[in-house]
Amino acid sequence: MNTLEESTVLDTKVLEMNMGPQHPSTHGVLRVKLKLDGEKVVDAECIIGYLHRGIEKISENRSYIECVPYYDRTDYIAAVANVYGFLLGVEKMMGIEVPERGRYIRIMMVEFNRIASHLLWLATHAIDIGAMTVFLYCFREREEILKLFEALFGARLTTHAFRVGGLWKDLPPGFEQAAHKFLDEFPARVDEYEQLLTHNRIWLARTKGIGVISGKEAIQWGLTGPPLRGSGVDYDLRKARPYGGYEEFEFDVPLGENGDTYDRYVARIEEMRQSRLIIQQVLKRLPGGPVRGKAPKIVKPPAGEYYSGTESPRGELGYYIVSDGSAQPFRVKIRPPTFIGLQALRRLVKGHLMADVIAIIGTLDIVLGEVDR
Amino acid sequence: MSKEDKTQPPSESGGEKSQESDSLESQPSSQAGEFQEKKAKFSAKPVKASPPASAKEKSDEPSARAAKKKGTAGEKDQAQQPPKSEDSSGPQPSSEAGKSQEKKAKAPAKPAKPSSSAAAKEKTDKPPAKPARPAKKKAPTYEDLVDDPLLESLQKKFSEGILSGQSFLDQATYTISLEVLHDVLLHLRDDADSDYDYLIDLTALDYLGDEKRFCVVYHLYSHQKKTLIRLRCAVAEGESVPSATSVWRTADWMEREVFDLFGIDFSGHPDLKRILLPDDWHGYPLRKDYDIKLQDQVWIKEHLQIRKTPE
Repeated sequence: MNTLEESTVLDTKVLEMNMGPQHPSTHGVLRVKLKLDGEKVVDAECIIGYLHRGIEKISENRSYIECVPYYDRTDYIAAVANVYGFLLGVEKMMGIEVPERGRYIRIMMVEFNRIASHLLWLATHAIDIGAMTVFLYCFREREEILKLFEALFGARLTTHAFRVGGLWKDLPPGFEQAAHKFLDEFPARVDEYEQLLTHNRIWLARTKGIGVISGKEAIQWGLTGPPLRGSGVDYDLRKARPYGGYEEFEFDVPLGENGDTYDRYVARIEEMRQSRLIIQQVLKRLPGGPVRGKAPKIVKPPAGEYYSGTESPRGELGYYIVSDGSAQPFRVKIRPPTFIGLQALRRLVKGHLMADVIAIIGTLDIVLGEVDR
Repeated sequence: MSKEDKTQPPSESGGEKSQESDSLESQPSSQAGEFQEKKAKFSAKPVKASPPASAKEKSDEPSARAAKKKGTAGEKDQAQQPPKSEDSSGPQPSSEAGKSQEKKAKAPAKPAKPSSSAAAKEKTDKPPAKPARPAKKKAPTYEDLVDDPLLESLQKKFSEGILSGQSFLDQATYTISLEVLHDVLLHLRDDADSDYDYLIDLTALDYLGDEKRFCVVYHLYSHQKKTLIRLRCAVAEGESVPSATSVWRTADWMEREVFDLFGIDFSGHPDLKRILLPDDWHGYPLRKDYDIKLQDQVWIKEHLQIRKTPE
């Protein structure tokens, strides 16, 4: 067994240790093979695939419409955002226009989903590091969003949110009031989380300078979303390659400076505030009219290919759709942000302590359903 | 394919549609509709009177709640309808038609592929499905890139290595031969004019029956220029593709995934092994000749102790 060059003085042996697949802080069935020198991590290898369901293969054997619910089940924390990217691609290929009201409601729901996803991330990230209270607070707010999902979609988690051409149905009565109520209360709630964490000495000690990665390196590793923006790279698909009407709304893209766990935390917290601003703009300008455009019963995109990239809460989520002109896709390749981002774990944990591995897994915000598909 | 698979697609889409039209047309006659009328009457007079809005909201609330309840009850009924009709009355005439249409479309299933030959281009030029209604927009097709600086510079540098440059729905696709692939990737990353520093995605397609069966697809993005391009490279079975891990670190797991699911070899990859499937799995699931129900029975028997009866 190879020893760490720096530690030849003490001549300790490298210990190989398994973390997961059933470990509470790996957020699913992730197995990490750690090589430890004392408490220091020498190397880490991720072993994944425990949740592989072959969703891409299933897609090739289903019609376009039938594919959609499967994408709920890739990233089940952000199911609304996941379905969105695929449908945008199909609609683009077929030239289907979504009515303005439909587009606006979609953006609103995706942003609600972003807040819900970030809340779950914050809750679990905080509890991994040891902050119990934040966990309970975050779930309290997330519950309100899930109630909104249930009112509109009829489901809380795997929502099957959108249809080709728009939405299944319009907003239920009372939805807008409930949304306004949530949005009015939300900033105070975020301040509450920040009060508990942002200047907390334990939190700072556990996150500052942990898992540092420069912007250039982050691009090399294919990081996207908050992990990339935490390193100061301004790449948000809603701004870089606007889709679905995002160019009509004003919001900032929060950026970090140091590229450490703390900066990624700050970026996500700020993103929740920005999402709230987008939803408020949507509600303010919400036009009337239908929520679903004209779409054929059998969806048959013309023979061709299209890469539809969207900014999911976790980063760049892409659907590469190849059509042969039939009712079933020839191939759908999902570009999952966390599958590609998880590679960087090896790079991020090197040299850190065993306990920091948990913080770094948390900061990457992985969802194993998406990693394994 | 089992019975279930065949009947599902048309009935599903048909069911969904009918359900939708139900909800659109039947609701106004239901109680929810009554509420809507009431609301319309209510809001007809004090349209822009904002001060009494709070009072209006209050008086609206109970009725809104009631309507919500009724609305959800109605939805439940509708949601239950489609499966019922599936069980009892079997496929409806409309779904029959859908089935035959789908079969027709399946028969000439010729995967789209940008190519330099005119013959192949004509294929893609064909109307995709049934002749579209005259009012409809023209279906998108592959168009040759004209005056594309990147294509010109690539052709200057790699001459015959660049087979074609086309665009589909404003996404540029460059077809590249395997011999120059690695050099092209390096050039695209390092050349100041292109500067594609970010590999978005790397995947493969299986055109079963073609001389060069596989096609490796790269999606690249330049943070500086904010452009996205796609590279295609045809690969025959057994040929190995130069690994892009030395160009972009992120290619590591992407190539492992392609190796795992397609069985394409990447030469120069530091640790090429299966990633999603177990190490001792046989077969490559995303190949087109790997049936969706086909599984590695030996592996399943050995590891899960499940004995499957042959179909």
